[in-house]
Amino acid sequence: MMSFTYLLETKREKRLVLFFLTVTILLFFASLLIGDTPLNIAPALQAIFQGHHTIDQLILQHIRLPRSLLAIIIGASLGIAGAALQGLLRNPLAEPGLIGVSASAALGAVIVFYSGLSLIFPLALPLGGITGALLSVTMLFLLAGRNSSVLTLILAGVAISSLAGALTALALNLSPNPYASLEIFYWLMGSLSNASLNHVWLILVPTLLGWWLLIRSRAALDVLSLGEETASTLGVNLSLLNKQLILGVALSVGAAVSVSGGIAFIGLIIPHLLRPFVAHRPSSLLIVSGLGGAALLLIADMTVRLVPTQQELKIGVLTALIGAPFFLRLILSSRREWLS
Amino acid sequence: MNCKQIFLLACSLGLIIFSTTGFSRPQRIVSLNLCADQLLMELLPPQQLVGITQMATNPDISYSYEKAKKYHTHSGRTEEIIALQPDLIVAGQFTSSTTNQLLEQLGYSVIKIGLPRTILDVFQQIKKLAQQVNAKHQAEALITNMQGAQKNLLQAQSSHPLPRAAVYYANGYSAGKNTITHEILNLAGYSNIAAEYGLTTVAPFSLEKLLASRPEILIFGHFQDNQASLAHQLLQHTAIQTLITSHHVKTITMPDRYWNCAGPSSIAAAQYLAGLHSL
Repeated sequence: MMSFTYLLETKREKRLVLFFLTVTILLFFASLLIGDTPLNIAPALQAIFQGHHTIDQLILQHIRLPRSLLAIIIGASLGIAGAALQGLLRNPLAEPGLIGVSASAALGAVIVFYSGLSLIFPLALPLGGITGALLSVTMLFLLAGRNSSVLTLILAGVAISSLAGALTALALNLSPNPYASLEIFYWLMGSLSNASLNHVWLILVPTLLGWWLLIRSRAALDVLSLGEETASTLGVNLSLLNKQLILGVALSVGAAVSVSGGIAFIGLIIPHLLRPFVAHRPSSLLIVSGLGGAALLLIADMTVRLVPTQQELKIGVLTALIGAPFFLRLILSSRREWLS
Repeated sequence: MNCKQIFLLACSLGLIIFSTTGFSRPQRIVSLNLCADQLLMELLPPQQLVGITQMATNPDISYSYEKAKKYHTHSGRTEEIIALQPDLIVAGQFTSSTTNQLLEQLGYSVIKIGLPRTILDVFQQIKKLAQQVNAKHQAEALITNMQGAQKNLLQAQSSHPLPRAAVYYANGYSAGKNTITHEILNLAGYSNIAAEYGLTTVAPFSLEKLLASRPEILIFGHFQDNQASLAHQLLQHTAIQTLITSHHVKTITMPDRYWNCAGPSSIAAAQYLAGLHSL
């Protein structure tokens, strides 16, 4: 706990973190209560701790718990990665889903999963996602670079997204399994249904490593916001910082997408909403955005479970419905900046 | 009934008479549908059934895959079908593919078979098809055979409460009350959990409901030989695996070839399942 409080620089940030931590924990317990069947939570919890197998325990531990845990982990990854990418590219529209990182991660995961490689070696699944994400962030950084116009970044993102999407469709159509080609929707829109505890274990280590890399570079992000030249005169090793951020985003987003598919807009909505509360300091934004992302994804996942559709709604549909208006607003405001 | 309706009725009657007399003895029949393949192979020799689909020889999906080796198969491409010079084409009702339309436009007579939901529907479908391909005797023999097997299955059922079984297909689907699967389960001496939970068709059945229903027997579609897909990964979910081991649930892996079509394979499916009671 010492090291954690040490990470939080301002009093305001601490208060915000505490608030979102409480909200996330409350939402986590609420999400354990939502499902298709009524459960007796108390005996089920007791059974989990005593190691008994009852039906309620199986449902709670193996169906609902992994889903809620993944919502927290993946939501946090998307929130932190969004905030970090915006700092790295110094561009408020940078978001893993919009600039093609999620789509590329999905491509990597799809290749590994449908080739059967992940059946032999399960860790290949997150590794595939991470490789895809790494390639796309590197490519994006080379294509658009820092301080590029919003337009360049978005266009580079569109190019990468559509290429990755097309290759994903190709990979799925080449799969001998007749169901594969129908699953493109899952990889492009994202879902947490049918998540299992195995998925949690699979992505935990790379995700934590990614978070650590991103949070470690938070102080440098503040300096970077003053401009590259100022940052290097102040002693920031720019090439190391770039590598750290790129690898951090790739690890956390790549691992997340490899089990949930690409869930867009969370990395855009959350940092954008929270920026005013942390006085626009990129460093303070990271942890808060992570917690905010976790809370938002928990809410989104509970909503798709409650909406009475025959097949469960994909989460990406919901986040896009909330996120797209944000995106439009951001474009309008940044257009005003260019004109002025 | 007004004049217009009488006129229409007369017209349609005339059409039926024309079609049954006009094509009374089709000599070269081609099937475009896996289920039609399996029914027609029971009724017609290779000299008369001159083309079946390539799928029919695949043991994963076709029940009569052995028998299919004696027949000529086609890939489903229009030019290949025309080259077989068919005088009757049998297609599936729901395969409104461009091939079907094109063949109809070219003047070939195409009949479409539907998806039966009960064994009784299957008998009717066989009778109707037999009339169209002029194979009444074979159809009667086939139906008598199936009815006999049906009777044996019903007699073999013990009077105990039937064991409760849930069918779980890829993507978490199960089969409800108005499906041939339901009838197969009942015939084999199992009570269908999905019907108990109000499913009427083949519809999604959530993992939570599957667990909460406390099945005694889980019947999976065949997936071991399949390549990876999310749809099949669900069947290996840890929740299901732990349920099976901790609650001693019996599992049956049912090859897809038994389920894919309603027909003689349905009786075979029931026999297969009934034979697993004592295990």
